[in-house]
Amino acid sequence: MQRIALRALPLLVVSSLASAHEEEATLGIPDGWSAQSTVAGSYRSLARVKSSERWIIPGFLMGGEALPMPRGFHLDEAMLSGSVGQNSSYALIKIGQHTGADGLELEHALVGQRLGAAGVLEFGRMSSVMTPYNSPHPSQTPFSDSPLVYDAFWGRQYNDMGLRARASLKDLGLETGLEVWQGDSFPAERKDAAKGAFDVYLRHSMRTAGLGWSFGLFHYQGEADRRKDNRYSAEHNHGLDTSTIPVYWFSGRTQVQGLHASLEFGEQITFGAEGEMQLSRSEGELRDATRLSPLESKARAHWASAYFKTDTQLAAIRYERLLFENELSGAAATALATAANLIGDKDPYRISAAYNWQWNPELKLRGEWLRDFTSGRKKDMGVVGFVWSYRISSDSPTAVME
Amino acid sequence: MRFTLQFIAFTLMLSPACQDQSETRFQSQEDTSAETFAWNIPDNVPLPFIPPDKPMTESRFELGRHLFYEKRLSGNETQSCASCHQQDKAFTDGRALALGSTGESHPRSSMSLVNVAYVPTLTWANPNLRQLEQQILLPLFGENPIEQGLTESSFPRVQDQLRSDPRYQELFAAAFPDANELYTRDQIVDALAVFVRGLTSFNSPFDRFQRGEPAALSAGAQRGRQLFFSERMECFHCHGSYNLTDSNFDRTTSFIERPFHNTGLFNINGQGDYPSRNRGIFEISGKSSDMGKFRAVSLRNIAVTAPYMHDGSIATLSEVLDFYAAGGRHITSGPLSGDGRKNPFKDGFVTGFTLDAAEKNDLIEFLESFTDQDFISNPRFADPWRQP
Repeated sequence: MQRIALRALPLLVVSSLASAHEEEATLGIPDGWSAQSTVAGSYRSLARVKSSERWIIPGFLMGGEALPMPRGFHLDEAMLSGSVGQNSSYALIKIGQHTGADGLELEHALVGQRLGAAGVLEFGRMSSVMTPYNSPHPSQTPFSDSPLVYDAFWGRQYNDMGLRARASLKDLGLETGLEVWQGDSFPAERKDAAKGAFDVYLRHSMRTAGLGWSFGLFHYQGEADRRKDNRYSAEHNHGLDTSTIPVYWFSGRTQVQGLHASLEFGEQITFGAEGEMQLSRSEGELRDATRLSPLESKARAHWASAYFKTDTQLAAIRYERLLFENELSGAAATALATAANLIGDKDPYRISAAYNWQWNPELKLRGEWLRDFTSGRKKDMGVVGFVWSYRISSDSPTAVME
Repeated sequence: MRFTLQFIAFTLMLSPACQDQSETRFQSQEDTSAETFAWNIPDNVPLPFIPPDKPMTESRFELGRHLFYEKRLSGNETQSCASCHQQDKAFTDGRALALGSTGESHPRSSMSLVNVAYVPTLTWANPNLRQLEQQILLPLFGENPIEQGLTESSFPRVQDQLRSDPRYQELFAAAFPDANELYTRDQIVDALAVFVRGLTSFNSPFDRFQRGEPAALSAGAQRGRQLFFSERMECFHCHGSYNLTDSNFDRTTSFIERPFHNTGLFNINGQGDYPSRNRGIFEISGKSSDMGKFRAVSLRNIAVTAPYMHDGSIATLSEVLDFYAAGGRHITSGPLSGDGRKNPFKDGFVTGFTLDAAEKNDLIEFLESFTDQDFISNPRFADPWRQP
């Protein structure tokens, strides 16, 4: 068992950069099997908003599963995943619970087919890989919170039913892909009139002894038809009285373009930096039961992080900022903008500092300090937590024997 | 690598610019109006709410105008919408009771179509009839009473006539450029609805006075205005707001009110009854308390829409004031006899008042200031078949 743990160690002491590189090492899932379980929890000295309030970053139409972490001790994530590959085809299932979801959720259920050494087709429910930072689970990053841009633009993560084609040129470190989505995930909403979503991406990554880097870009487009903020609906009230929550919905097109880059160097002690910028533009109309207003919303999000790590310790800082520019028109513009909390002239931002300590191969302890300005009020808070993770796979002889 | 850098630069160029500080801006209503449809609505009035799948376009408005004045849109080709909704009478007909194409009398008076886009419930007394596209089917195809008298069997004849008319060929193609099929019933109804929604009136002397032109109202009308908006008269409770009715609905409305009122016109046998076929929303709800409740119509252009009330039973504005001054109507003989003043379902605001002759004249002068001459003579709303 100890040998399994030692093999798993590099995977557990992760920065988000490391997890990105893990994706790029092999397209698809190799033959064999693997299983992983993860549990993460944390204690927060303060919540972003009171339990009786909705969390809406002023200026942004939010949705999906972008719910705030509450005060006190809470489970951030509990996941169980498994994959099986045979004859170049494979299946992956991941179920679990995380903040924002009610009960167990089928996060991934996909089948894939590798096409030679450089191509993959995948189909099913899955998270987008247009950027390596999508689907940021607390267990996978030094920080317990997702980057703000994913809360504001993607409802925490972009996960939907879809079809993905990926191809790589390993010698050049290039990978490109096309993902076509059913369009049921924020910021898209399928219903009757909308036409789904798609994204394309291109990225380059390379790792040599003591040096690794990556950069990439993507373009996403999704259509929404009467998209509500379902986070606080009657079915998902999260303790709020839903009868007092304004109901409004957005119909229109959202386009997002993004750039990301990372650099890591060192061997015994590793230094790294990474960052991302995304630009979003939504055009459509905002309406409630009786009123409507044409809306054009532009937003920019960027974050940057620097870290250093040893075999067992990691320290990181992260700075994130959002900017928005909303334009509404018509007689109901002010009323609807107020209901949707779109009015504001302050840039939301967050500063985070984290220290991670790999207590043993399965257990990581974490302490954080955050300065948060994402709810119209500046708040300083502390977080302590843990991540427990265990992975076994058929490529580990010890694991198979045991 | 070079291609990658070029693509990054290209992406950034195409990306929307976002300024350096967050901001939420609001365009003026005028801009919105100019983008979509010539509403001719002043800035101080909100735009009406339009069903999302029924866009207002000038081409549909123009087609609707032609259809509104089209007599071939009736079973015997003798009557159009305009037969009962005449522009010079603010789109009423001057009759106590409307008359259908076959000569059948309607139990109620033709309603004015002024600012009908703002009406939350259509016709005199139907809280469930909310959308013009539903209502328009009634005069076209209704059988009880017969109005324009179209039937499923006669409608294909109408379609053929429209299809063979070069003017309609252009109008339909312009109004529905993406349609696979033209001259459908839905298209005819949609175009009529667009025209009717576009019948807006906000340029009466009263409107101009409200917008800051003191000279728009005479001294007498200004005294009448004071009376109208006084608690002594109570008029404004049911005929207030920018549309001079309490039954109003626009894009800023967060809660749709559907008020109906019993004004004490009847009290047959002292039981609160109204005449058969004219019992207000009681005919829809079956609730006794809804007996005799009708919608308070807009008073815009009221001076040119006589006779008054849902049954056209009061001939002049002077008599209407006498009626409200008495707190209802007392019918002393005949099958409709009864003291409407004591109707148990009468609205609490119809309690009666006293007016001397000068005050009455002032009030009538003020009611006459609701007449929008631009509206009742605007060529935009006129019969296109009469134009050169």
